[in-house]
Amino acid sequence: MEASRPFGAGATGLFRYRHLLWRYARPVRWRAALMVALVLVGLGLQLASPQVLRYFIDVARGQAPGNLLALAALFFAVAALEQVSAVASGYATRGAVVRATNRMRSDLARHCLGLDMGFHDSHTPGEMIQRLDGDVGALASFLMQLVIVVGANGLLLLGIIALLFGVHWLVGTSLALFVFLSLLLLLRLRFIAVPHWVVSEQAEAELYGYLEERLAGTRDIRALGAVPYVVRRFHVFLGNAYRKALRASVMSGITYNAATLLFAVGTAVGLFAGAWLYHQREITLGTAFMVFYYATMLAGPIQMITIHAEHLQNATASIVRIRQLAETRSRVPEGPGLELAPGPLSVELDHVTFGYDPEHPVLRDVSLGLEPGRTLGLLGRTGHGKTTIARLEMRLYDPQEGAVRLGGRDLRQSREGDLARHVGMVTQNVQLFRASVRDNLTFFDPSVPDEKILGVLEDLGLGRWYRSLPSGLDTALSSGGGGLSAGEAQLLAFARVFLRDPGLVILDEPTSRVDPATEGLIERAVERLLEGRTAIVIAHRLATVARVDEIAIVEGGRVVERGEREALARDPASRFHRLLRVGGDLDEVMA
Amino acid sequence: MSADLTPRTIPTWRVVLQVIGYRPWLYASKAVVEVLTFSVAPWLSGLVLKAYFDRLSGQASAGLNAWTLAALFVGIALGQAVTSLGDIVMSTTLGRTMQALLGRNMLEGVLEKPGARALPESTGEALSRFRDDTAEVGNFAYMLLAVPASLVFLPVALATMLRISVLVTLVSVVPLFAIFGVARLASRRIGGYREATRVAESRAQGFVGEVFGTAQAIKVAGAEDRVIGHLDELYERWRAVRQREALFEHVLEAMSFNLGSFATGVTVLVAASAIRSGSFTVGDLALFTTYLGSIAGFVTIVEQVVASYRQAEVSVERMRHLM
Repeated sequence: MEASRPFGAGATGLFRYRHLLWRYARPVRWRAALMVALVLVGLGLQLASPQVLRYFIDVARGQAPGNLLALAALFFAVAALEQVSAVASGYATRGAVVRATNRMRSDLARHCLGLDMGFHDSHTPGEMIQRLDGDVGALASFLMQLVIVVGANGLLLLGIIALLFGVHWLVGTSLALFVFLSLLLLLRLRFIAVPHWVVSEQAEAELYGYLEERLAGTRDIRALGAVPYVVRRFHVFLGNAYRKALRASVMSGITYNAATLLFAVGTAVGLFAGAWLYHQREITLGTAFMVFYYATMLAGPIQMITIHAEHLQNATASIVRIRQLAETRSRVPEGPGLELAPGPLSVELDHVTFGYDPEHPVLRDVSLGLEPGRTLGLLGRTGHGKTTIARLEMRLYDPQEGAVRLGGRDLRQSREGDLARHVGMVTQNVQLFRASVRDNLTFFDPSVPDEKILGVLEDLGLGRWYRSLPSGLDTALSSGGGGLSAGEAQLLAFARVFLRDPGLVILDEPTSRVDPATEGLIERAVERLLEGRTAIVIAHRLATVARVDEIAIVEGGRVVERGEREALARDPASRFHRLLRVGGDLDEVMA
Repeated sequence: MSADLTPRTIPTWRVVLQVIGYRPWLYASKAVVEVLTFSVAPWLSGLVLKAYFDRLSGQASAGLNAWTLAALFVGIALGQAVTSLGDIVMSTTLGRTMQALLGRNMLEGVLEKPGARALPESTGEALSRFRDDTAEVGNFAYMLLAVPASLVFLPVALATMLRISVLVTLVSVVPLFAIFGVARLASRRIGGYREATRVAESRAQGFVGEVFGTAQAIKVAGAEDRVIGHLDELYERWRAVRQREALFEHVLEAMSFNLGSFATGVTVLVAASAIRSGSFTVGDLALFTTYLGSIAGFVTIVEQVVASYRQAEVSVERMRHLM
């Protein structure tokens, strides 16, 4: 069914998504124009060379006036130019298409990066690579095919037919009919072998499935004396696989040979028509030769169209997926903009209810306030809402009910990037890019002066590490931070925050054990981070908790205890007091 | 009867010969079919075209008329289609027979191994010996057939052309081979271009993965635009190397597969005065046009055979190791 209308799906799909395509074609329109011009020049040359050959032959036979050598030279020049223009148009086509698709990739990546974290939680990086490279790539090759198939080859066919009509209506009609019928037949034949190959692969799978089981148990087979039996069965499976493969190969062969045979028929049609008209004295010998030449030229474009018709269908699914991504809206909408004063900020959660899935709230009616410059330790078991509170402060999500405020302003007013200058976050997982140390620390911001970076590294105790780098800040880090210790990676995350110097920091304290020397550096980094800033620390260690001003204990999505650290520590009835008494790792104690 | 793989002294070509010797008649008849399909048919087509135009122009007054010749042209193509289908049946049969022979010998060797020795490699790898490596040896065995097929066409076509005109043949064929040789030499460089493209591509793809694996940190740092800016740079580098590779490929293509019209151009240039004097007919021109287009294709085959032999050597070594 599909085979009978190969252009159907692709053509309507293209039409439906023309806005999407136009958006990316526009920026490269001059290149695209150049590409079209070069393709047209190539077509013109291809169509012109048989005409030159016709005059050449007629002049040579004295049936037309003209300079024979000049015509021969012209034919040679056209043939050589044809090659040059084929190279140039191929190069220009690729350039225009790749530029347009890379722009689409980049726009799509930018769009998706701007979506809320809920989107990122449900789309793996692997899936995003598949969308950006696989689907956009499929669209790119679709565009290439479109240019080659519909554009170049379709026009070439039309051009040849038009010129043949110019010779005589009989030649034009017969070869136009030939083109039409062979396209119809070949597009139908294209898929006849497919089901046979499926059956053949099935038989192969059975053969090698059998073999795999025997190979896994060679010792038993030997012990049981079953070798001749196994070899016999192997032969039975081989025979079956052979018969299925033979049928599939023959079906493929029919498709292939039908094409070869058809093209011979096309050439013969040209020969018949040429002979008939020549005998009627309607055309010269040169024209008869030209008709033959054009008839042989029909094979190439017909073949290209039947081969590439498949790709025209495949892109539709990709276009649909790309459009779905492009139409996804962020659930954290842009506000009018939020200007905050520099320096420590107050933090407030006002009757906040939030769930990643609204049906299952993680936080229920949580209210929590923190004055500027104060530090708060968040304690609680994993999965009870500590990290969620931190994410709401960063506006990675919006609460379903209530409001989150910084410096007294509702975060819903903020636009993308407003908070980055004011809020910093150090998470447990430090993710590094495969990029230079500088780009990793500044997040690709070239405006940060090197002295500032070096100052921060020295302050964090990374001076020695920095001096060990072969190319200083330009040293490339590998993806995932290979070659760095866990502690060093953690310190680089601190450096990222210090470089931005935000008024509020959120610290998800690392639980991983690092060597004592680095641990000392991290503790000092934490100390400096909390100085003169509002801070929320998701604490995993008593040592860290000892530094904060206030404590909040979160359990089951609610704040169950809240107060000054020292007051709670003194109150024997408090949960915090009990925690301190038991001691050790806070996570383990609370579990 | 037996393709004995065990003694390590037997070279790969002997193994291939033994495999071929297992069904010599099948192999020989496939060779005949190949020669018919790929040498005789194109040679005859050229002759028919020449006769057609000579008949039309009145340069040959005897022989078949133009209609019969046009019908003969289709007849040759029909015969070619039939032999080509026969070739496919023989290829599959021959390939599968060789696979079966090698596979059975290997299976017996593995099962009857003295002592309780297990397979020297994983089951999956052993399976690949049975499936892929046996196919490689079979593949080489019938790649080898392409050589006689082209070895028949090349001299016959050249002889036909030389009999028509030594000068035109030499002047059109020599540059064809020269350009073709340069293209072949240059094509060795394509590996470097491909590798550069692959590296740039995996850098860009890898970075996409990193970006979406680090989305939270990027959003917190407000670095969305800068990160995408870096991605754009990686994409641009990828595009540049890819386009360079494409240019190289297009040039190679123009220099090898599309040489037919170029060679016709040379023929026309050289034969101009001979055509006027009538010593080089329009029929000769048609013959040269068809043969020159086919000759280019045959040279690649020799290279493929060499590559296929290397592959077969690796496969035979692997199968020995399994046993």
